Amino acid sequence: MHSFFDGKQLMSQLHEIPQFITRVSNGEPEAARITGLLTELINQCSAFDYEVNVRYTDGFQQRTAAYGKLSENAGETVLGRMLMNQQSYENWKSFVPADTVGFSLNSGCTLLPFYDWAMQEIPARFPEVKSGLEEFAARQDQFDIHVREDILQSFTGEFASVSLPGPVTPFGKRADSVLMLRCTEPEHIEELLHRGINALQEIPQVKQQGVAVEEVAGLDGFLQLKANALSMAQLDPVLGFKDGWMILGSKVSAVEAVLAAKSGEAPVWADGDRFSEFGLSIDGPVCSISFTNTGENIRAMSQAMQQLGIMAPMILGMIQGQTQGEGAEALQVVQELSGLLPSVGRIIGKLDFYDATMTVTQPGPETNSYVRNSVTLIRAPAAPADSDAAATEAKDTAEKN
Amino acid sequence: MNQCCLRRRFTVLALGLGGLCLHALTVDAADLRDAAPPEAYMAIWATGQNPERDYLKVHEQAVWDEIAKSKIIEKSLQIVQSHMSDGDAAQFLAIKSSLQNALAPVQWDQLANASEVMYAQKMEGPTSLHLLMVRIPDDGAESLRQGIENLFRLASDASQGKLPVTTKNVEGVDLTYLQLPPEVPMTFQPAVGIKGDIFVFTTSLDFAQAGLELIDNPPQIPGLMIRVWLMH
Repeated sequence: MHSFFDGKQLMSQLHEIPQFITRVSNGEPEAARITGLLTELINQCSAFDYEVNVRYTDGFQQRTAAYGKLSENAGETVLGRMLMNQQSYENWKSFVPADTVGFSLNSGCTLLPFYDWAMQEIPARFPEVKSGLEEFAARQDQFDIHVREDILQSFTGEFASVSLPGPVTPFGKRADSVLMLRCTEPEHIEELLHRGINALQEIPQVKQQGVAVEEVAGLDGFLQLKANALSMAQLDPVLGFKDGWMILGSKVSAVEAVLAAKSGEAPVWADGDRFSEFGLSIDGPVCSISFTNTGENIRAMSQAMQQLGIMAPMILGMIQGQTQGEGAEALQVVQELSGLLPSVGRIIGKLDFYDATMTVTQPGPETNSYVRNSVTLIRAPAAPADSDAAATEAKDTAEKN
Repeated sequence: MNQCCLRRRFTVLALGLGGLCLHALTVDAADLRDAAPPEAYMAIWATGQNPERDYLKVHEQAVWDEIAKSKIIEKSLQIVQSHMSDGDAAQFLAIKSSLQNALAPVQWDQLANASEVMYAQKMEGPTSLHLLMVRIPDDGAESLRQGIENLFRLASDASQGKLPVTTKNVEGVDLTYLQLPPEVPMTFQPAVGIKGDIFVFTTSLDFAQAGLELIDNPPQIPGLMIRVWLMH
């Protein structure tokens, strides 16, 4: 499969939208203001030149190769400035511990250029919003938290998320997760978080929940969020700052695993067999890279739906017994539909031949260009003639489902 | 975009894509890649039959078998129907029957044997326009055209004549389309036709004309998708 996307052509055609509005509005001044803003917004989004995509088959791999380019003047547009100054990952391998079940590292985008553009362009074209923006600024001063300086400047857009094996629940395996956001002002953000927690504790209903933060022993600079509801859900979220990243984890052990890999104290996923299955040669920095354990996710979803399909009709039946009138009728429909969930789960489970997908985007050979490679591993079907193998596969699938 | 500019851009693409690997493909004279109009901002071309990935058919068959075994579509319709009033249920059954009759001519098995697909998209005003061409063997294209035309006629009947079904010959192809009322300011005209074994669906007669012209008269500079292919 080949595909071609012409960003310049699209943007040129999008300019017909304000022209269309002008034509059908018969010179309405309000429409002229909107079309002016729309035209400028389209200009500021005109950052992509083109992308060519080729998908092909290589044995049990579905591979996609893409080459794309931003336009020469992308750096002068808002969208270009949001995308082009991001930090790439010089050593992506260090972010991913050996037992990772899924991850995504992305240089992302910064919202700051768009915020600055909107704050300048909108009041200039719509003076009536100035009073609202002044009130917004006053509120920020009042609470001493400023969207631009405190949030948008502090978080530059790069992010990394890593999923690790978690506990087994009645609905299947649950993954522990770690989310890392690049943060240029960790001390300031930490202070804001403490202020936020203190403010929350002033609210009686929240205070009743026992919301509090505690330092994590052995993990310098990290805090654990405590609350009754979180304990009941068996969640122990932690938050901290290290090496220019704000790190949020569902569990202390998950954060420790990522930090150990990052510091080189623990083995990394890229040194394992799973990575080599994709046959991807990745040299140099990456703009984004991800691995999705598709087959495992499909099996987990299939199992969860089948479990839910067994439990939901019983729970809904109990609720229905205490409900009357139209509510009971609506619950009856939901109860009957939920009875279909096991079938839906089994159908979804059959899609687990999509084993796993890995995608990597790196800077291209030309200025403003990029190359993206993606590989999806497909599970080989059992040979029809080999009845033993087919039976084994059917048994395996049944067990997985 | 002038041809000089196109040449320059595709030379750049050719250089950039030199390193990408691609499996050998057969190029026919009347290749649907030629049919992607140059005004499209997006074009996709794919072959339907690749023996290298026949193993996917085994997996896909297992999914269809499970769907058939579960009877989930029938059960869902039964649940919806069982909670309707008698009048609504009768109307529901009538609509279901009309749709089944309209699509009865479609040879679904042949659709699965489609050998080539081209899809292109462009913007015109606020409307996104689409052009789909699918090469389907053994009268499969005609069967699908008939099914879609029947759906158009159902929509026309439901609109009590406000959406008449009309036919126009475009580049030697009879395109059957729903004629929208003149007060609709947008360019949107769902149309369907066939050219030999090629099924054509579009939402703009002009866009379809651009594509059909290119099939009959391939451009001196190779068509949009051919250029992408030549880069390898």
